[in-house]
Amino acid sequence: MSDTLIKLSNLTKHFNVEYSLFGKPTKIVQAVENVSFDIFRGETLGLVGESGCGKTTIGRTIVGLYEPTAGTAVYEGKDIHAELKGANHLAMKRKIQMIFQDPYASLNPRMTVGDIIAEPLIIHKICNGQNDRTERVHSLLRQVGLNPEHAGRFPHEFSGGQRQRIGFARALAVDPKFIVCDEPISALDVSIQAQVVNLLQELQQELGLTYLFVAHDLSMVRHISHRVAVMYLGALAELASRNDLYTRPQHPYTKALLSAIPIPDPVIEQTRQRIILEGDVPSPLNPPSGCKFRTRCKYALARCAEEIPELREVAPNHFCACHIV
Amino acid sequence: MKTVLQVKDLKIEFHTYAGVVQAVNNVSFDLKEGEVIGLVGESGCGKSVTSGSIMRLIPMPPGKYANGQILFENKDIVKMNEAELRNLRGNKIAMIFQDPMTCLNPVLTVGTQLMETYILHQGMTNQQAREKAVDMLRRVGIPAPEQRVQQYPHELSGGMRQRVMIAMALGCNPKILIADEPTTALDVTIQAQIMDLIKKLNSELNTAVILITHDLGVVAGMCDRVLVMYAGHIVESANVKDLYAHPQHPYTWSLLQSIPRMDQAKHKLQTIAGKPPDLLNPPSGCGFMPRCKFAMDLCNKKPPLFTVSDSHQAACWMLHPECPHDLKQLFAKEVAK
Repeated sequence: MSDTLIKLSNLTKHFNVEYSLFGKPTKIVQAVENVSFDIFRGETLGLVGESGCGKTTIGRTIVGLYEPTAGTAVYEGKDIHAELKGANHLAMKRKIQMIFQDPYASLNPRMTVGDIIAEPLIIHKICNGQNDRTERVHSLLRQVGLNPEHAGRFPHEFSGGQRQRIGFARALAVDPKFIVCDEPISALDVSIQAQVVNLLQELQQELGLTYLFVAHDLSMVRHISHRVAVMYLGALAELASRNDLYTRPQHPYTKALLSAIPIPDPVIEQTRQRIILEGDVPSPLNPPSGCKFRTRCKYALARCAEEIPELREVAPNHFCACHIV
Repeated sequence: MKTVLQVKDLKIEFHTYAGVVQAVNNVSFDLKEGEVIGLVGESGCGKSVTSGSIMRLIPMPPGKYANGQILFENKDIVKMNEAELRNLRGNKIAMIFQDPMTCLNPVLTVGTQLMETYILHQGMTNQQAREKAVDMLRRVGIPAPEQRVQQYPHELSGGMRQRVMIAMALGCNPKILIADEPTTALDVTIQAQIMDLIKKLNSELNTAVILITHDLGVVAGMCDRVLVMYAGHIVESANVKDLYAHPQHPYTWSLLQSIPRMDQAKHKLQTIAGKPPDLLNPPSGCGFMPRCKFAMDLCNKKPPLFTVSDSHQAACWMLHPECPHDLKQLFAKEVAK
């Protein structure tokens, strides 16, 4: 499992939100700051954090929807963004696909399900001729647990869970190696979430896929991921294997985040001591100096305001960016 | 403890072009003083309609109270006139909603919106109302409330806005607070803050709370009693500990099985096959039957609420004394796993 598929090095993404009269940016959202990590072949890396922490931005940057401000994202030794600009951009796009959060907004309401799934096949010239293509669409639909007869229907005829399955089928159409799942279950009901997550896991085993699973539901991330990365305000706070992160969290933010998650068991829940964080996440327009978490951290030292903590290996394969750990 | 609210055989229908949607059917429950009850279920199960009907917030038409009573202080809310309702809403029964941004008026300051309630319901002067507004904001944990009252909703974060909503709701010391998914739009660390606050105010002011949510984790930490709804019916009603330890309805059990837990690793999540029934033509029998592993012929008939113990009822034929013993055992075995 230590075979690196994707390598992010000092990935930074800024968005300019306001410009001066002469076109110079005056307000910059620092969505992602110097994030580096590896994603190994065949694993699911969970990326968690609160809204606005930059987790979706990372996912979108890897797929090439955003151009990084600095740093690189490398797929099997090739720079993804350089590759996407070159002649071979289709080959790179085939390797990396994405599943979106909102199954209502990510499918074209005027296309039939069959056309939606066939579109990538046409663009990438994967199947020769109409018959081949229809065949492939049907087998994809079967693969995600839908019926081939569904190909002629429109997205509005499906429930949220089924639409998300259509999204999977579209992503799988080009035989990708790596899929960014951007909160694929947060818009679904509890009983449907389980179906979709099980499907994701089955597909991973069958096709040897690698996932970046972006989510804010830490219980679900524990269930599906092999390793978990925690982000706060654009920076990586902690990265560890699933069991290490959930049983031995090191970063004060991870600890608070884990303790905030309600556990569906009244006996545990009503006696549990919570770490309740004060205040809100600061604005990424004007993040605090040094460690970004220091304004809400009860252990903050003078040093935390001056120096940005590096991501260090605090235990084997357990990385944490905090001065006090 | 005194009962503050009694819902009896409530039935709410929506008359639409496609037909009659039976959103809430035969729902009965009591709410006691200072109690926190949770109303859980998936989207479309009727939990928001039930809670909205207590404040008469369901648009009519298309909505219609087809049957039942909602008794509050010996009066039936279903039959109240507009003047009585105005005295009830926001004063005796208050509500907070899922999305605090769309519930606050964007063109009025937070203070103006808070003061309006006090001036209307408690006959305060402007000066008194302003002081009360500042005091309430302080109570819900908003720093520098003197400045905050002059700000507009867009200047506050989501968590702050929800605190303002809570301050507004609790300003008149209501008997009942209805919280309709109050933390669904918030991040988990903020959710923890808000839940803590609601719990603190519940014990300080002895306000009864109806908490509507789909998050079984939140329910476990907050509620004394839980009502599980499915397809417009209450399928199980129990004390919170009994519900999690000994679920009696297969739906409750499947729901608990399908959620991953942060404190333990599960191998594979149990799923509930299929989807909830269409309430335009609800099944004549048990609504959960098409998705139930333990379904039998009898389930084509609607099950009544069987009493398991004083504080525990469930609507499942398996609780009938003449239900085949091996089926009961099979279910008990699955639950024990």
